Amino acid sequence: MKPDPTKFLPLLPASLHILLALSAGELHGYAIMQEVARQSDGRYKLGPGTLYDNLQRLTAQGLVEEAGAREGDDDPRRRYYRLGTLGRGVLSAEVERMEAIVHAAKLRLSRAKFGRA
Amino acid sequence: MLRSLYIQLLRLHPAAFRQRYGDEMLSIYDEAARAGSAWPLFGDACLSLGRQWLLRENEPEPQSAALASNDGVPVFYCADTSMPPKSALVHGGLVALAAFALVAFALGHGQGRRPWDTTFQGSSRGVAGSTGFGVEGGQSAIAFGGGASGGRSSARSDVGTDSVWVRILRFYENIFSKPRPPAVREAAAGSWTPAPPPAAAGARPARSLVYLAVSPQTFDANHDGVLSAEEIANAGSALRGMDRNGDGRLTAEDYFTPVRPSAQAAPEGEPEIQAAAPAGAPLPQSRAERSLYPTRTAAEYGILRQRSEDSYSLEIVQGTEASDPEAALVRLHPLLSALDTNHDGELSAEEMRNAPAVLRRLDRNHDGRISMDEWPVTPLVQSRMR
Repeated sequence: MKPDPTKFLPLLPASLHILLALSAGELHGYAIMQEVARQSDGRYKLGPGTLYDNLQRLTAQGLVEEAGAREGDDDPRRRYYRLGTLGRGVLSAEVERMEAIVHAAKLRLSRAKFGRA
Repeated sequence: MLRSLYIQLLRLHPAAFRQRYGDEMLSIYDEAARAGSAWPLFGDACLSLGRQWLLRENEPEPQSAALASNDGVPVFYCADTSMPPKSALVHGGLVALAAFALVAFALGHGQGRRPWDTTFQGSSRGVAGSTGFGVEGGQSAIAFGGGASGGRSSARSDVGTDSVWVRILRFYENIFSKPRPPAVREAAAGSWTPAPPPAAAGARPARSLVYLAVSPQTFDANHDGVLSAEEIANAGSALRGMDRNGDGRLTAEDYFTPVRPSAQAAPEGEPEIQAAAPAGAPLPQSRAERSLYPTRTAAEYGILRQRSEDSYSLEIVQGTEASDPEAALVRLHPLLSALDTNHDGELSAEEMRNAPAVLRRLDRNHDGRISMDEWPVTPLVQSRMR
């Protein structure tokens, strides 16, 4: 029986950014940090401690899978991570949840604007 | 240098996390160091350290299982299927440390009142015909003066508690408490009376359990609680009256004088514990009585502080006067100290003659009399228990 993705919601900001970074493909830790910084235009920066603390938890939950090291990499210490099937479902559910929030917020704000007008 | 520091931070992480992610974190540190932005990683590593130890369970704990003896019968069962997580142990340790620090702080700032202090409570009665100065024997062994009112005082002893736990508590109290000067509180109308020395104990007549040292009562012939001019003038003869061996001087041997005649019955309610003792036999002593006899050879003196109207505590002062315990007793005894002008630990014939002049100097309001509130501040000196 597949676990319900909604039971992992809401995601913590760090987890959301990591899952979002891994949605593009397999990345090692430093690349995840750089991708998160790029996604947020540098406003959100992960440190390695926070990164691996979250990766440890996400891996244990089955949302992220370890892809191992790659031959020929610049640094043999690097290990790659990828989004699991469950992680992709959780990320989709989280995006939908956030879309619903954004939709409700826009609706509420537009009504307020119309009411004042 | 910085890299070594970061490695040390990584080593402080739980082993499972360190072995799994340590190399990768160090790899990222190296990348960041090359980019010149390594400093923020230290704060991040510290936060990670706290999170890992306090919030995460990194190692699968060993499963507890029933141990079986040779015959297959389990000899031990654990109700739970797993051991407590390390984070729970860390939490417990922190809570225990905080509780212990709180207790130690409270002990160190408890207005000088500590649970292991010797405390005397109970009932005893002042000496018949006197105004309440004196030491009273019996089961409770000792009582301290109720002042001019001659009222009841109390005696309960829990001495002899110098166990290893008390020593540990004293050690931590010394760490957490502010240093207290050895000064003592001002005694308004109370008096002090050391118990007799051990050497004198064997010479005590049966039933004579009440002893009085040199005190205001020594000079208060009419026991009205006030020294009149005539009583002051006769102070020298009063002191000479205490010279039991007639050598013309008062030493510690003479400071303790039985004030209740041996033939006098014990006050009502006081057990006559000595009645059956054969002549010359050592007198049985209660624990409290034993504990308060001066041990002049041990030279471990204490200061008895009055905690409330009928409560006293004994604070032990050790070691400093080991070379001359009798002189130490005199120095700790304010009245003896005033009379012993050359501070040699005994009162010579000349000092006894000068006693009236010394006492007149205590007459602070110059009315020719010395009332109880004019006596010098009185640290009550008691010996360490033997």
